[in-house]
Amino acid sequence: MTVAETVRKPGGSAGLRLALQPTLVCVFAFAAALAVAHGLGSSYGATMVGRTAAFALAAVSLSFLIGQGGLVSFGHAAPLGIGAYAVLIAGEYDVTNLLVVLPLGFASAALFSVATGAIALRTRGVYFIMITLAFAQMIFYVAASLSAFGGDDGMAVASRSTLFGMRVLKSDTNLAILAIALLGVALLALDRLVASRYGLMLRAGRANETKLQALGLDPYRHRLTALAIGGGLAGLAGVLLANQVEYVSPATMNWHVSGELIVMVVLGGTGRLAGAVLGAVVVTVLDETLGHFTEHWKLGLGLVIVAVVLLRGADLKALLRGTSA
Amino acid sequence: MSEPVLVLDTLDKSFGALRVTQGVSLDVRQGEVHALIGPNGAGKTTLVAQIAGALRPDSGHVRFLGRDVTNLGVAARARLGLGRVFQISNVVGSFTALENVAVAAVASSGDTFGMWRPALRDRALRAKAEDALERVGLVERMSSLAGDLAHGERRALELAMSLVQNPKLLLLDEPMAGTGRGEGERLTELLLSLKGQVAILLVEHDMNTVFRLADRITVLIYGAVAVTGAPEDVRGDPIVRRAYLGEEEAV
Ligand SMILES: Nc1ncnc2c1ncn2[C@@H]1O[C@H](COP(=O)(O)OP(=O)(O)O)[C@@H](O)[C@H]1O
Ligand SMILES: [Mg+2]
Repeated sequence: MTVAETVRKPGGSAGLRLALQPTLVCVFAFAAALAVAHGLGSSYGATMVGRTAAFALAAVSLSFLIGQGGLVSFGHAAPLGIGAYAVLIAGEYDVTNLLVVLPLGFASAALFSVATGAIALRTRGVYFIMITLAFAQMIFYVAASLSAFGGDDGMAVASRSTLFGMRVLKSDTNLAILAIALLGVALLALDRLVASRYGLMLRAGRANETKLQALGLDPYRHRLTALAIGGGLAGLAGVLLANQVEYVSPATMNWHVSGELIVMVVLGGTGRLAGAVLGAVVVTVLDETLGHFTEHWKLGLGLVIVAVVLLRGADLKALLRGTSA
Repeated sequence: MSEPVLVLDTLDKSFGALRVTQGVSLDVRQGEVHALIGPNGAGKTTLVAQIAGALRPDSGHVRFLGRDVTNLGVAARARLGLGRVFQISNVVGSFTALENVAVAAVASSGDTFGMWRPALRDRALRAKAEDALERVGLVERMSSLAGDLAHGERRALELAMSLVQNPKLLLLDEPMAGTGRGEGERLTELLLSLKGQVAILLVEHDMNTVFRLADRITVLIYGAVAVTGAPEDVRGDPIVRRAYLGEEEAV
């Protein structure tokens, strides 16, 4: 039900191992899929695994905001896209080193999330959803107006990121390994964060803000920090995606993408961070398979979502309120 | 004699035409249990909300620990040492009892931003939380979800959440309401054991409890203070007998 359940298990290494389990399962599953693709010599397979892991990272970062912080952002494509633009823009200035580009993608996306979050956090529930959407649309149009970086159409990145000039991401397999590693590290770090004092305050604020206030804590700064962390991780996912397709355009920040990320989170369940990984796998695989047969596959996905939402009725209501009892 | 912990100075509050608080002045002294009684709808909960900072009075002042807190919000007043137990139990249902108390302990500690160490594996924090649960007799239930606790247990849990913060003043809005006889008795014993250590403003309907615990009693009728005094004076006061105690006897 809630992450509280994993946290509740008393200390000791057994408790820790249990808490790690979903994360390890995710990482091993991705690694196995990649090994199979690599063994078959399928670069398409490696591409798909890397792409899915990148979207899973973005979905996990959103799940952290929604499930742990009660912050239902409908603008998560914005930090994702900002991370992608970090690769493009840095590349135009001949900066391609991963050790610069990754922190840059994280920091610029986190900065955007904090700046817009400082205002968005003054609202609740449906208003929060709408204002995050509005900010994402703003940055979408800003990106489209960057004529030096392709404007509406976007443009190809100069090259994939490097490591001190070494073209380590030339192979799709290596890129997928990086994506899986980042996903794994993010899951581990977030698991840790959720169980920490900070995480306890964040979750309490989601579940019962009135009581937390009466206990002396106004969770505003904790939420702002959550937005920075969630946004920053989405920025990392954007860096991965830009490397993958070697092309960046405002479409990355399209509100459809925000919606799809929410779908991933809701499909996988907001209670556990690893659930979002499952949601990301389902959506990207459906997109890739059904998308070849019909443009209208999203209708089918829509029906799946309606079914899931009905089964998780209470969950969605809490989602719209931005809190849960 | 030292300054009272809490001083209310001619508070007024209206909801539209309804004057729910009318010129209320009272004080709670150090270590005192001050009971606030009055018929349903007299404005007790509304007054507690103004003390806690959840409602702003239309006029008048709230002084807490010698400081004018009228313009401070709920969280700021709580940090100064004001603990509130709500009339309707207010806990995090999806957290265990232990986690709820840990939330309270962390919220009032200096460290709410620790991001690495799991909160519940902090020995000192855990010991503090378990101790608070022990005091209210809930230690056996610490791993149960708060949402699964019986009504009376949830009241006790909320009290534990306040106690773990070592408040300077406890606002208790009908802590015994809806508890079973045994639970009510245990809570009364617990409050008796707190007597003298922490100032308490106690809103309570059960007159036996009030007369056992209170050092002074204020009677609120239609939002105004009818009388404040020692229990024996209040018991004998004709206005009170007519307006309040009499009503009880008639029921
Ligand atoms: N937010 C509000 N808006 C309008 N009227 C209110 C509000 N809160 C309480 N009241 C009214 O104020 C009066 C006092 O309520 P309350 O303080 O809960 O009384 P008590 O706790 O003594 O039973 C009641 O008549 C109640 O209906
Ligand atoms: Mg009341």
